Amino acid sequence: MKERLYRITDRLVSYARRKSPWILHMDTGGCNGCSIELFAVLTPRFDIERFGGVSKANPRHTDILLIDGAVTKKIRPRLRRIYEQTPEPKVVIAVGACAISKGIFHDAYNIDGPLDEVMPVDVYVPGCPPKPEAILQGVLKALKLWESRYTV
Amino acid sequence: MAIETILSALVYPGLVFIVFMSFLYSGFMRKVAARMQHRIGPPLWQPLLDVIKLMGKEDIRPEQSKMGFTFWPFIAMVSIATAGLLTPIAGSVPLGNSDVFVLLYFLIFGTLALYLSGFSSSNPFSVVGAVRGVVQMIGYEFPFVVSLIVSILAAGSVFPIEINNFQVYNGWISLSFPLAALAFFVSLLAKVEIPPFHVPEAHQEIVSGYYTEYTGSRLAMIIMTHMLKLFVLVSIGIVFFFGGSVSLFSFLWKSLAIVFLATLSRVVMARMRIDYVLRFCWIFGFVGLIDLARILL
Ligand code: SF4
Repeated sequence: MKERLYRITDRLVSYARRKSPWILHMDTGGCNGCSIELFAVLTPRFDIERFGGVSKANPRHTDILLIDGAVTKKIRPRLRRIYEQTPEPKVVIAVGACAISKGIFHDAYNIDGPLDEVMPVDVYVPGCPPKPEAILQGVLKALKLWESRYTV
Repeated sequence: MAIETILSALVYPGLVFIVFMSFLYSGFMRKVAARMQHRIGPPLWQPLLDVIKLMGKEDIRPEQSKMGFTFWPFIAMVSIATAGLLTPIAGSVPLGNSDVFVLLYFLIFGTLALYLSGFSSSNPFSVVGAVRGVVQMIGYEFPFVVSLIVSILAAGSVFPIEINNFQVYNGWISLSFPLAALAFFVSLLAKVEIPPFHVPEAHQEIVSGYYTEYTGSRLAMIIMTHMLKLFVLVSIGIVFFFGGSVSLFSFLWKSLAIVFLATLSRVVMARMRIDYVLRFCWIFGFVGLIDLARILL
């Protein structure tokens, strides 16, 4: 009986998770190309709200961190802090070549490593910049991961 | 008899119905707002999914937060839900008959508890948001109370259910006193923090206002409080100004019409500055006073 109750609750919560991702967008210092494509995801044409997603500018309320741009020396501690402020369970998506592998800023003096040296990254969306469709697909992939991730 | 009372307090038109309807209203609001912006929009039951999801998230309590951080959201939710139980829904009051003032006190206390939750989380953003909220309260309580007094004097009773029945027999109060109804509608928008009155949670200025620090189930409680507030105010509007309701059908269409108007305001308007909010609300308070003078003289 108890087992069954747990299972039903689990299924309910994971369904609700799949249907309600709240997103934090953070530009860590790229060329802003990815940010523009990311904003397109929120516009009527691509409309992330049809999957229940809302863009929240607050790490305390977010479930999915969408991070683009190369990690500069200045942003690195702040990025770490934003990651720690986000409540578990959470998913991190690296958007664009900069966040994945420093991209065109590869040998710049002020760049401090790709994103996955700062925080664990779950989904990579390649491209310079990736298309809005690609970002949307990344979010949907992340949802699949997030659905089965439990609170610590 | 006893079973009937309990059922009416808990199921219909009681707690379950109220919670269900408040989910429906905010889902309707989000869907209609999306359609107005040419988007597909979330499904109608999206707010329910949000709340379930938030229940399953981590509850963070900041180190600097005061003791009230843990219980104010709960108190806010409970007192707003109680206010909902004291409002007539489709011609019957879930929790038995009581006068307007109890209802008003529960409503004000619930709102205040929300802002106290902001104060107790010790984040500069939430404190600023809470201060703004309290200032805004000074603004909108005046037109709200004035418009309710007009309705009370017109119907000659302080019991919401009698005002409801008065309107059913004698026509809409908002038709004979349109200015008071206008003042009421403005204060409704301000009370549920619908644009142009979303000053306390201004997303572009102060992260999320007074509930910046909240996560998990407490955030779910705060969101529930917002939705319940929308429901309670819409049903107060129906009872006091928009013709009352005896059947579920008239209750539904009137409330959805009011929610639709509120959505229109949400989509069309930009945010006001806090001092403008104060001035704007007080102007509508004085507009409501004209109707009060008409009734008294
Ligand atoms: S990946 Fe390309 S488009 Fe995106 S921020 Fe870097 S340089 Fe700009």
